[in-house]
Amino acid sequence: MTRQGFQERDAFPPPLAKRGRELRWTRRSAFGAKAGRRAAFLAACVGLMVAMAWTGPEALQQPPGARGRGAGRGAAPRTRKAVLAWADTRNGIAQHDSVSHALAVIERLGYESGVYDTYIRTDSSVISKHPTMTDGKPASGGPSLANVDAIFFLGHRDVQLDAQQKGDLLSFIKNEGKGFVASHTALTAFESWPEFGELLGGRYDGHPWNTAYGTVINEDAGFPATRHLAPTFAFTDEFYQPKELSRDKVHVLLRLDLGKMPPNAELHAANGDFALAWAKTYGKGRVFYSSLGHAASTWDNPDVYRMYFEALKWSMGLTDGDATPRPKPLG
Amino acid sequence: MARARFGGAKEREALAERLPLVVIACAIAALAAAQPQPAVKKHVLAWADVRNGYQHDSISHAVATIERLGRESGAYDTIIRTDSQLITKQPITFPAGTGIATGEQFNVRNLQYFDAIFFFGVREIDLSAPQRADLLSFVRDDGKGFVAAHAASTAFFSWPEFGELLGGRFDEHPWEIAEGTVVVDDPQFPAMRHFPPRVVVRDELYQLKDFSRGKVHVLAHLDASKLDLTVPLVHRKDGDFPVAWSKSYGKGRVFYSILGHDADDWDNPLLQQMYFQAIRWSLRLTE
Repeated sequence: MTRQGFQERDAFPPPLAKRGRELRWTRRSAFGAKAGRRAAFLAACVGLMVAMAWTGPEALQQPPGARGRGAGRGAAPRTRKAVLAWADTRNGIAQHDSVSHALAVIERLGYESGVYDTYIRTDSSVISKHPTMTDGKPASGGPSLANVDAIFFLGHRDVQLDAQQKGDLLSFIKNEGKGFVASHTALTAFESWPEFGELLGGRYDGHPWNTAYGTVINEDAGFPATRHLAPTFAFTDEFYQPKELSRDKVHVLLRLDLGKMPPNAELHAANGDFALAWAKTYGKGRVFYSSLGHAASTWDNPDVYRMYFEALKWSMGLTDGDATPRPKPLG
Repeated sequence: MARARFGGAKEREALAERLPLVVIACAIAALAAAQPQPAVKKHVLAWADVRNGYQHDSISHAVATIERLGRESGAYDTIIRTDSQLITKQPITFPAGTGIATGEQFNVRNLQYFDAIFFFGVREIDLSAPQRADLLSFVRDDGKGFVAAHAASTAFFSWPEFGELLGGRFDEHPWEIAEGTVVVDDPQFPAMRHFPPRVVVRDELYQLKDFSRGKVHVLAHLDASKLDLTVPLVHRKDGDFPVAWSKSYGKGRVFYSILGHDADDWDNPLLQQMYFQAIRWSLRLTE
């Protein structure tokens, strides 16, 4: 397969990504012939324009040279945010095939926009302010709750954390005001840990229709993560039914239009309320959850990845949005 | 039905709306058809257990790039793991009391599921003796692939068999991050075909030890005449500094390259194609 083969078939994400990549590698002097540099300049101009259109002004406020993080040792201090993409799925049933693709997409969005660096981890040893190696000795550098700005969480069921780690995780958000963005199976996580339910704002109560076609109602087109979405839109996903979710505590952003769903014996939402995405605060920190993203291909949908990207930016305080709890809108 | 197809205004409108999408879909399908596709999608485990060593900033971008290359080409699906749970051929079970809601288990992968490993772990990874045996057997007896990048040669120093599998060991990076001239030894090899005969790269250039040209097939090396051999940590008196090699280990195919220290190295098409083609070779999609 030739390189051209990649570019022709490179359908995701749309042009920004491709140009961003060209921008970075053609910029490298080591490989740049004169023609390459001219092409790089053109690509840089186009890339910058696309980046402006796509990511908004935040990314452009990064100082020159902030793109890519290849400065190596002795590099200047970090100018981008750091996201820990954490998906500990060791404990369990229902390993989703989408998890790795979701992590890679989250990494790519941060990398190509220049907004954040991502540390992908499927272990939980860095969920600590003082991470350790597997033998209990202090870890040698790397990410930890002491140096990242937000967590993107895609774990499931009872992730194994000790009491110290649980305390550090809650404090990371509650006391230090860091971000927590969680997706799909995250709602099934830590069933035996009540505080996690408080943090996330709800619990998992099955997926009555399995993967199904439905209509999603956008309750807040003013919120950064849902601003790009239509007031209502058709969507196919494995819609998770939340329980222990209260509109006194969370700001619902998306809900499933139950009036358009077929009857289902497993549907427990007595008042017709079936939230698919919400924002909330937890102490000083910002929390976002959405159940969208069961299938790997869902993460190639620009509506979906943009939602998570904007949610991450909001959770890190790069944008603002109203997370005040409010009752279900009429109609 | 009496109504003709596309009879109503609404239907015509809907078709007009969809037409550009249909054209795009056809174009994508045509391009996809032009690419040779493996009959069955292969499965790659991108394994980067970094818990016991220095986590290079590039590792997450590297595994995400490997995932993307497989997905976009259709050659393989990737599971990314920074833990080592899946490095076993035994069924993965969960002891009672660990919070599993039901006894039901599905989609739990182990080495039996995978066709190759892309390895970017570091230092002394915590693997039990049965896990080590299964990892070696995965390559040696099952003929599966093992493609390793950069810091992978720092892994398992205390485990001699891993050195045999990989073909050599890390021996410092005397020049830190520096420019080096890569000279291609085997331009016919799938992972090298896209390389010019000589090319300057900037990377953290590793010096390797405990390798033998009788056991590994060096695909590219650093031009020693362009390196400062007087810096303190240069140990190789013979000036032999491989950049990449291929080898077999039992029935399996192994590839290693020193390249890929920085995240944006993984945006370089030379390096991307090298690892992508190495994975395809290790999966026996090319010879």
